[in-house]
Amino acid sequence: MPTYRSYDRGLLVRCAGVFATVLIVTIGCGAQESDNLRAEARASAAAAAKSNRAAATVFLDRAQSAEARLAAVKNVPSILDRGDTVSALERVRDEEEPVAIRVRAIELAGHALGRDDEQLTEVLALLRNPDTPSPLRAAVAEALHLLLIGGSAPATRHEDIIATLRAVMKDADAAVRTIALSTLAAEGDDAAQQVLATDLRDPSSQLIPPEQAVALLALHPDGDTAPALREVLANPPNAQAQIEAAQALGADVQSHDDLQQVIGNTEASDELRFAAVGALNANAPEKIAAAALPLLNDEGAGDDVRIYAIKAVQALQEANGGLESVQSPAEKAFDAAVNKLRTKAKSAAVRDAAKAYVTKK
Amino acid sequence: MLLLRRAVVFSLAVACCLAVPVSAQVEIQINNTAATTDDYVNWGPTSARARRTTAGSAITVVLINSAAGVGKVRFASSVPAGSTATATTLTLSLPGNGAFVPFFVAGQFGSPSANDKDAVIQARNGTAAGALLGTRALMVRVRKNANTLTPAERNRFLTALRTLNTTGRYLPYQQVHKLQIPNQGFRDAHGAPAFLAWHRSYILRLERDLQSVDPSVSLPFWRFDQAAPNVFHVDFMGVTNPSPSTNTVVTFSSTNPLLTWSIEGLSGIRRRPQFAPGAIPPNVNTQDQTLALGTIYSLFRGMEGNPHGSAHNEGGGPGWLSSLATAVRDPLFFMLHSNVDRLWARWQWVNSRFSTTTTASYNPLGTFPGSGATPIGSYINDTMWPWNGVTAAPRPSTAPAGPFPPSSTYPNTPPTQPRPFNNIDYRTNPPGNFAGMGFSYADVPFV
Repeated sequence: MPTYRSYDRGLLVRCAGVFATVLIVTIGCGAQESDNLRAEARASAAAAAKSNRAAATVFLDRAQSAEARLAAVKNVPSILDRGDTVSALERVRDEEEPVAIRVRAIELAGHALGRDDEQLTEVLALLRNPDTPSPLRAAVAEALHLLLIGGSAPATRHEDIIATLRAVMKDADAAVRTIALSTLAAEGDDAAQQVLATDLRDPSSQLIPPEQAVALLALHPDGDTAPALREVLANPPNAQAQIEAAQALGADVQSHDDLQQVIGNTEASDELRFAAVGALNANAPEKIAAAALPLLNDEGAGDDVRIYAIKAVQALQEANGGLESVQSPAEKAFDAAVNKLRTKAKSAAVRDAAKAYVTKK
Repeated sequence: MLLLRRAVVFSLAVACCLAVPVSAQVEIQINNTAATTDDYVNWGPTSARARRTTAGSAITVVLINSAAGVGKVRFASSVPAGSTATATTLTLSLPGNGAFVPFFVAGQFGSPSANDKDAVIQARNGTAAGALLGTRALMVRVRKNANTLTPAERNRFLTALRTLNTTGRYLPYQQVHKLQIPNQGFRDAHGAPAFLAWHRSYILRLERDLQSVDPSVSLPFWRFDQAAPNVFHVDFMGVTNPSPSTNTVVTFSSTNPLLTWSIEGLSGIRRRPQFAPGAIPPNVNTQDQTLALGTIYSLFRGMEGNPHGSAHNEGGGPGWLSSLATAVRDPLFFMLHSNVDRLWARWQWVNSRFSTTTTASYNPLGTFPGSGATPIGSYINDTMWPWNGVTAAPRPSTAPAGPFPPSSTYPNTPPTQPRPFNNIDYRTNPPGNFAGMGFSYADVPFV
């Protein structure tokens, strides 16, 4: 067993090259090597803190030009020092400061709002106030979104934040209402979902593009939103909205027949058929074999959607233990179709997927 | 000259007497069981033992790594608390009666395995160059940078994920996490001191589920402060077509096991990263900046906002990852949180913050006093939902997935009802349990 001394000597020799750090990692880690690595990590962190502090100092210095202040924090993700974050949040509310500085201040210090009740109250007021410059309101809305996903929103203020976002979800400013609706919809907020569903039915409203509204409703699809989504599937305002609706409707049992029709429709786009197959697979995988049979037999269908159907049935069979004895007639027909594709499909990728399916069985 | 000749003859005679018969064999066991299913080590010391399996006199063997092995290990006959095995070879004297001789084995930092059981311990007769008397294959299994996984490592991970997804074992993770949002009036896991501890148990629970499917899998981490083109790739976590601008549907290759991913009635994965697949995510604190948040826990846990929250936002865009209620639907969540946990582990290592009795390592200590701004579940000795099964307010009315399943390989790490306490020193907690919680990070040393 080597002593630490002899081990270290070997280490030093090996570390003499340019890639010393890499080498240290590749040759193992005794106590001394670990101490070296630790010292190196501490030095890097200290340098990062110093650099961040220097950038924050310039940014907070009113004596400097706005350009210089913004340039100082150009590549800075956030202000680290707690005292500096408090100062930055004060700049957000400071009407004497240029708007660009106030926007950047909330971007750099918004994560700290959860620690300061008073600052949070003031910032919420900024968002509610239509006289606040639009870019700043959008930046505040984004900071609130980050506060919610970052988990650093105080539980006692959660309802205040939600209420403020609700208050601006029909805001005249497109960026503000988009962020508010997106954040609330992601939380599964009923009020936001109602607004989105209503918006979809009223072409004159269009708070946000219909495909975006459908995508937001699809985050938490439920019985209340299904009628609006079915309407979009049947009478789409545009192709993307129809695709989004198809994806969201899988959870709606009443829509399964419609989805099966889309899958079997040779006139439908591959993207739409793909969305429909996926939606059906996510909710009624036992229906996929029957629904996708026309797709397998359609040489005009895209590779992606046919391969998806094959993989979906394969995954279902694997989950069920691959018991052929309990196969339905549709599944047997599906097997036969896949077996045929193994050699007859024009696409090599489809042939490969079919071969893998048959081999797995 | 005569004396010299006699000495040589005598030496040869002694050597012949001590030489091990060709039939002598040595058995090596990892985790002190004959089973191979627990032959996995990380940077921490794992109990092992060796014995002579054929009757005879005592023999001396030297344990070494097989030169052909990818994973490499280190040895020790004993390890002080907080230490690990560091010797490249170990000499053992094995009694003739077949009794086991204990030792410790640990992965050699910087030399993890790439495949199952690609590390091989050899028992050599007398010296490291002696006759081979026995071998034991094992795996140096650590959590690696997802961007540098081999295709085989990546596919094993994805296949195990798919298995959990198709068999319904993934869904409870989403059900648990979406109940951990503050508008439920409840927060063990977010916006509270236990954020890091809760998620350490939470992702470990998934990792052990993955390992029940394929024991060679560990949970890779997404270095969200670096470019990760191999992660945001059709063969791994998928890519999002930039057109149309509202598209959030992730595209996979036809051979990607995640192709048929579905959860909560929704197919595919919704994600629109705010950066190109080969770019560094913007607005996310780097590793150094994260470690610069402070050397005491109450400062460091500010990382929940940035990089943690920022990584969720940048990685998910208008997709699932950007909301507490939907984030776990996207399996990238676990790679993101593996990195969050890695940063905590790295901070602990850099600042020696493994003590469960100082507020520098964790704050608050003690147990929930019954009232106050800091919620129940945050104090170091509080049990954490859902594993504690508590369904009375302020906890949610359900506790999906039940207690933390016990592990035979890592007993009581964590216990079935984990507390923040159990997650602080993941390497050795509780004291005396050398295997710790059973995970290490590729770039975080044990000591």
